[in-house]
Formats: sequence, C-alpha cells, structure tokens
Amino acid sequence: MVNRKITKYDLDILGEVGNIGAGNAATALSQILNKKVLLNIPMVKLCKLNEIADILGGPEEIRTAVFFGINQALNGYILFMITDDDAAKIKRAVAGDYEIDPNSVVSEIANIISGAYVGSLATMINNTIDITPPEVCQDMVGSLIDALIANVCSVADKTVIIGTNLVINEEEISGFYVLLLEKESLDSMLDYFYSISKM
Amino acid sequence: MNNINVGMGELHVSKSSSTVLVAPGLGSCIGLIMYDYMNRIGGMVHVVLPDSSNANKSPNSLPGKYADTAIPSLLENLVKIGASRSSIIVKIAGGAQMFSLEKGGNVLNIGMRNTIAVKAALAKENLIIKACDTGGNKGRTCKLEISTGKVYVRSIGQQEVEL
Repeated sequence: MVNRKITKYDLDILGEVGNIGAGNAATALSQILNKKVLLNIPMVKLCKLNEIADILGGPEEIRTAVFFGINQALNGYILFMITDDDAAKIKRAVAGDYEIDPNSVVSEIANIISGAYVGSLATMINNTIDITPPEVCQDMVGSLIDALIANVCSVADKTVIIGTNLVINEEEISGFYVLLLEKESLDSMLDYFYSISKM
Repeated sequence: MNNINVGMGELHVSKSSSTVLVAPGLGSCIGLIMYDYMNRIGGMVHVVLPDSSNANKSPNSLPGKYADTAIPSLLENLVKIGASRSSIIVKIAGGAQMFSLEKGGNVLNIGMRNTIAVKAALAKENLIIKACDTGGNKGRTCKLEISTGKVYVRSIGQQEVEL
C-alpha cells in the first residue's frame, strides 16, 4: 500500500469528502454571520510540488492565513487563506466598527469552520481527529505553504490538494480553504471508504 | 530582462546576460545561488527538504528538492555550461519558520533543518557561503541577476536589499 497510485476515481471520492467537509464549514460560518454562504465547486488535484503555489494564487501573492495541524486518525494540515481586504471585510461583518484586530476575528472564524470541517471528516471515517489551535500569519502564499508541502511531499513529488472557495455573497468575501494530508492518511482514508462500500 | 521563476524543487542555470533567476515566496525553503564571477554564469536551486534518503527516486524527480542532492547537481550543471569551480561563490536565503506549530519532534522547524543540511552539503563540496539571510519568521523572494551576479532579497513590507 505504500506506493499506491491515486486514481481519478480516488480523486472523485476525495472531492466528495472535501465537499461534505466544506458544506459543514459553510453552515457553521453562515450561522455565526447570519448570512448566506456559498460553496464554489471544490477543487481536487493531484499536483507536483512546484505547481502548488501557482494553483493557490501565485507564490508572491500576499494572504492572511490561518493554519491548523490535524493528527490522530488523519495527519495533515488545514490552511484558510484570505486577502487582506477580505479579512477587513470579515472583521466588519462580525464586529462592525468595534476596535478589534482583524487577524483575531479571522482566526476565530477559521477556528469555528475548521472545527465543523474536521468534525465531519471524523464522522465520515468513524474515528477521532485532533486539531491544533489556530495560528495566524500574513505573508506570501509560497512562504505560507512550503513547510506544509515539504512535510506532505517528503517522499513523493506529488500530493493531493483538496480546496474549496467559501463565498459570503452579500459582503463579497471569498476565502480559500485547503486540506493537505500526508500520503499514509490519504491511503488509509481511501482504504476505509472502499472497505465500507463493499459491505 | 527575462525573469525565470525557480519553483519548489526546481534547478536553473544560465549564462545569458538578460536573465534574472527568481525564487518567489521562500518560507522554510531555501534559495541557493551559485555564481561564477569570472565567466558570468549563475544558477539557482529552490531546496525544499534536507535529506533525500527516504525519497522515491525516479528519472522525473525534481533535481533541486533535497539539499544533499541539489548542491552537487547545481554544481555539475554549472560546470557543464562552462563555469569554473574555483571562481564560484555561494549565497543563500530562506529557511524561515512561518508557524510555530508545524508538528512536534523532528518535523519541527524544517527551515532550520534545511539551513543546516545546505551548509553541510556545501562543506562537502568545499564551498563557502559568501552571504546569507536565513531564519526568522518572514517569507522572502530572492533574485539573481546573471549579468552582474548581484543577489537581492525582499520580504513583505520591506525594501529590497542586496545580499
């Protein structure tokens, strides 16, 4: 199983997983903001590591990112990325003119939606997943993701990116949500889905 | 000017005076530059990981991904297009730690492990680092002008500085 090749069918399954996770995340976000949240078509791609930064917006683009590590049944990372303008808009939507650091608002929002996302992943695989506290950082996309990619691509040159765009329509805010899993976690998750589909 | 992006794991060499090699958005990765002042030939690798011992080796593998193999490979490619080993200088940038929680244990601070591995690989080739800008918690973009050999580093919210 170590060198399992990811097939197109596997990608479809992972896309559905991302879709369900992001669906729960969107519901949670919609409840906090009391606004309609839309999900764009999820992105699932098997990418070579030198292409990833371009796919996520361009290596030198500046984003506010909230980072989470996930462990236990699945090992990997979640990154929520948003432009600075949109971070300011989220702050306004949540806290109005109240003086508060937009980063802490974005971090709290990301924390809540990641909880919903990971919770639904855990339910799907019928296992426990732990999530670390959020960390916020503002920098270039390339620099935000390279350590995470280094960890998931330590053996192979390719990894699966499961991404979703969350759009709060009324406020014209969009944020990008990325799930990166280590190869063993991807394999064990796929194995689990194939095993229950045979029952 | 002809900008060439050196993405994660990539390796580029050039002797064309109009070329600028750019490693954009370096976080824990390292942009390593070798430049031959005599012949005006330069190259860059975008190192992602310290050690290739667990790697899946295939002919399509990215040549600049691991520090231990990227450095001999860059040197070889430079010599192939006419560089002379004795006049090569080395500069490095990157190796930051963007998030403190990048998992505990060995995986922690991959930027620092990259920096150490790069220095060790250079020592093996008897090359000395002329200038470096590593560590910290800021992303960097580094550039090499082939015509002059000048190296520039830029972080967000800061002026570009020559390394």
